[in-house]
Amino acid sequence: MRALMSFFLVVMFSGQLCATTKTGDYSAAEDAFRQGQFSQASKIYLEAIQEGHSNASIFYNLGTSLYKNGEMGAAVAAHLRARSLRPDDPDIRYNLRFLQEKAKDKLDMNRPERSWEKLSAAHWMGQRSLFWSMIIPLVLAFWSVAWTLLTGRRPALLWSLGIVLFLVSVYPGLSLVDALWRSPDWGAVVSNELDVLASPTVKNSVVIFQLHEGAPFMVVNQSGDWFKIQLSDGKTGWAKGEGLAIFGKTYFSYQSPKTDSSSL
Amino acid sequence: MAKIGKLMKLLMVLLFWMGASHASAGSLTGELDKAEGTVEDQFVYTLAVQGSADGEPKFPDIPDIQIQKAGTSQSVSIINGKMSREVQYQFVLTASKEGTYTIPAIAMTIDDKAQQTLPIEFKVKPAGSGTGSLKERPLFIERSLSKQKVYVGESLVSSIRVFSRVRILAAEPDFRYPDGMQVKKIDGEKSYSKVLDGQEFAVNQFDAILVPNKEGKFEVPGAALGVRYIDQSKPRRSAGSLLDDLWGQGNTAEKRITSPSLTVEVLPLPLTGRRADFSGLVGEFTGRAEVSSRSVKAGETVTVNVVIEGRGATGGMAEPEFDLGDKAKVYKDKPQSQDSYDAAQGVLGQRTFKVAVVPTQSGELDIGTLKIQYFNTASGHYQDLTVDVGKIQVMANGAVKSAPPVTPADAQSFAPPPAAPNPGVKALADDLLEPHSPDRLAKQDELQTADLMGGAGLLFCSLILTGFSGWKSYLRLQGGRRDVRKKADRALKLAQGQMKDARRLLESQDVKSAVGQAQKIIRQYVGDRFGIKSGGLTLRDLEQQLAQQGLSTDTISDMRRVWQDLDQLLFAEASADQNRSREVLQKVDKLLQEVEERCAH
Repeated sequence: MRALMSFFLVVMFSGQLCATTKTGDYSAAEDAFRQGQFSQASKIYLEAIQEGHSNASIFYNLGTSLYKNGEMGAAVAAHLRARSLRPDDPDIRYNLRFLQEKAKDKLDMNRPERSWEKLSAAHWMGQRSLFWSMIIPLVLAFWSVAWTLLTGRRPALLWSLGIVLFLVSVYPGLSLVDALWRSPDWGAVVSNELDVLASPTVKNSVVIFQLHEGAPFMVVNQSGDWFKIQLSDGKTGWAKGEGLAIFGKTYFSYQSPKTDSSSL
Repeated sequence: MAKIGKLMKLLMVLLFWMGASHASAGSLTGELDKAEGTVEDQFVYTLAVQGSADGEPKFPDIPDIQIQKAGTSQSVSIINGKMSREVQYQFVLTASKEGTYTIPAIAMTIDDKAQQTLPIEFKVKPAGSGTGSLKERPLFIERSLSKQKVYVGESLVSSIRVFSRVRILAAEPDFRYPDGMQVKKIDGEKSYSKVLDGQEFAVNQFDAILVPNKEGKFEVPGAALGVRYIDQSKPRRSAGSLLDDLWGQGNTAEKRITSPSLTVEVLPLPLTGRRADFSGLVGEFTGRAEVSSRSVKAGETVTVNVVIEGRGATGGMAEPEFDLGDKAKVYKDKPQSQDSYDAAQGVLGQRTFKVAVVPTQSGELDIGTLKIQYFNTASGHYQDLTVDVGKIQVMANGAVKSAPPVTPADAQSFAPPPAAPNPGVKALADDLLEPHSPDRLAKQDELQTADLMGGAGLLFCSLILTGFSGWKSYLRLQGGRRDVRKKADRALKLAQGQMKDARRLLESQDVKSAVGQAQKIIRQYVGDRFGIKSGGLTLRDLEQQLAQQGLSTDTISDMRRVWQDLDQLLFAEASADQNRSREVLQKVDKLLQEVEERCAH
C-alpha cells in the first residue's frame, strides 16, 4: 500500500519536479528584461515554450517582453495563449485589455458562445484544475461506495454521498471537455496591415477584409503556410502565416523580426 | 548464239532490276497548299516520306507561326514486284501577324541516307485583304482601342468584336493584352447584330479597361479565336443526313481567326506641377463627403464617406490623409472601387473611402477640407479636387442634450463643457504589468501526461477497490443465504437430537425441564427452518410464521394444541404425569415431522 501511495505521489508531482530545472533560465530571462534586452528575454521564453513548457506565466512574460520589443501583435497572441491556460489570472486579463486598447482594430477577444457555454468552468479554471476537480470527487465517490459495500455500514448515507460526489465531478468534467475540444487556438496580426483572402492563394483570390496589428482571431484551419482565421463576429478568411503570430496548442506560427531593438 | 541470247536476256533482267531498285530509293518532299493567304487562313504543309524513315519528322519552329500536327496517312504500292511505302505527315500553320515567312528545310534519314526538303516561302496578308467581299468572310474578328495616345494612369478601353454569319459550335479565345498595363475585364459580353455590306452578322463584343502603368509605345496583339463551326458552303455527301437535323446543313469546319495588332502610345505624366501628395488619379473627377452625424458625444463614432468619381479609373488612387491630431482617432476601412464602362462617356470610376472618426475631446472638431491632386487629361494639367468634410460638434460624454444648429456666430463663442469621465470605463495605466517572477513559471498549467496517468491510476485503483468491495459484499450475501439454507436442512435433525435430551430429562423425573426443553426445540426448529431469530418467539409468532410459510390450518392447530399441552404440563401445580409428558413429547416429534414434510412439499 505504501508503495502504491509513493507511486501516485511521484506521478502527480513529477511534472513539477521536471519544471523546476528551468528556473535558472527564467532568472536569466528576468535579468535580460530588467536590463532592457527584451529580445533576449523573449528568446529564452520561446525556447522554453518550444521545449514543451506550458505555463501561463511563461506566455505572459513572453507577451510582456514582445510588447516591450515593439511586437504588439505577437504580444497579444502570447497573452491570449496565457489566458487560455490560466483564465482567472488578473494580470493576464489586465494586460490583454491594455493591448486591446492599443490595437487599431477593436475586436472582441472572446469566442461567441451559447448561453449554456457561458456557464463553463473553463472561464475561470485552467485545464489541470478542471481535471483534478473532476478526478478527486469521482475517486471519493468510488471510495464511498466501496466502503459501504465492504463493511455494510450506513449504506443509505454512503450511497447518497457517492452519488452526490459523482454529480459534483460531472461539472468540471464537462467544462474540461469544452476546454480541450471546443476552445480554439488564438492568434493576432503582426503586420501593420493584413489582407484576409477568400482562399489560401494570392493568385485570383479576393480580399474579404483587412486587419491591422494586434487584431485577435481564432485559428480554424491550416493549409501549408496559410491559416484560416475567424474573428469573434464570425467573419472567416485565409491569411499568410508571415503576417500572424499564433502560440496555440495545435497551431504555432511566429517569426521574430530581423531588426533587434533593445527598448520600446 | 543461243547462249549469247540467254546472256542478253539475263543482262536485261539485271538492268531492269537495278533500275527498279534505284527508282524505289527513299525520298523526302515538302509541299505547302498555297503560297499566299491572310492571317485568318490556315496553310497546310504536307511532308511526304518514301522509304523507311528513322523516326518521326520534327517540324521546325517559326516565329509568329502556330504549328499544329493535323494527321498522318500511309500508302503502300507494289510496282513490278517491288513494294514501296509512303507516309504523309500534315501540319497546319497559322500566322499571328502578316509578313513573309519561310519554312526551313526539314532533314530526315531515309533508308540510311540523309534527305532534306527544300525551303518554302509563303506570304501572309492582313485579315480581310484576301477577299474583297464580306460575303466570302462569314467569320472574322476585329479589335479596337478607344484611344491611341494616353497618359500613364489614364484608362482606355479595348473592344474585341467577333462577327459571324455561321453557327459556332465551340470557340477558344486567345485575347492577349500588352505587358505594362493593368487589365480589368468588364463582366458580361455584349451580343447584338450588325449589317455590313448587306450581310447581317451576329456580333459578340468583349470589353476591357486598360490602365497603362509605364510610358512607351505598346503593341496590342491581335485578338485570336479558334472556332469550330458549321460550314454551309460544304454540304454533306449524303443529302438529308441525320446530322443535318442535329447541326443543320453543312460540314463541321475549324478555323482560327485573328485581328490585326494595334499600337498605343503612352505618354509620361508631366513633372511640372506635380506635388508629393499626388493622388495618382488621371482623368476628370469630382468629390463629395458624407458624414453620418454632425453632433456626437466624445468617444462616439462618426462615419465619414469620401466619394471620388468621374471619368477614369480610380483603382490606383492613394488614400486621403485625415490629420486630426489628438482631437480624434481615425480608423480607415478598406477603400471600395467601382470602375465601369459607358459607351458614350468611356471609363467611369468611383472610389469610396470609409473612415470612422472617434472624437476624444469635446468641442468643435473641424475635419476640414481634403485637397486631392489629380491629372486632368482634358486640360493636360494637374488640378486640385477639394472635398469639404466640415465640422462636427462634440459634446462631453454624459451630456445627453441634443446640440443646437451651429451658426458661424455660435461657433466663435462655443465653449465646450469640461469632459466628464465615464464611470463605466476604468482608465488603464500607461504600460503593461510587470512580468511574473521565475518561481511562478515552474508549474505546468496545461494538462500533462503525468496528470492523465495519475488520474487514470487513481480511477483505476478506485474501480478495483469498488469491484473488490462489491465482490466481497456479494459473497457475504451469498454466504448468509447458504448458512440459512444449511440450518433449515439440518433443523429437524438438530431438533430430533435435542428431543433425545428432553426424553432423557423425562426419564430422570425432571418433567418441567423436559417440557421446557420441548418448547425451546419447537422455537428453535421454526427459527432454523424459516431463517428467523427464534429467541423470543411466542405462540402467536409461531402461528404467524407457519401461516406465512403456507402451512395448513390443521398443522397450525396441531402446533397450538401441542404448545398448550406443554404449557399445561409446565405450569401444573402438581407434579406432571410422566406418561402424559411422554405422549406430548411424541406429539412434538410428530408435529416437527409434519411441518418438515409440508415444507418439503
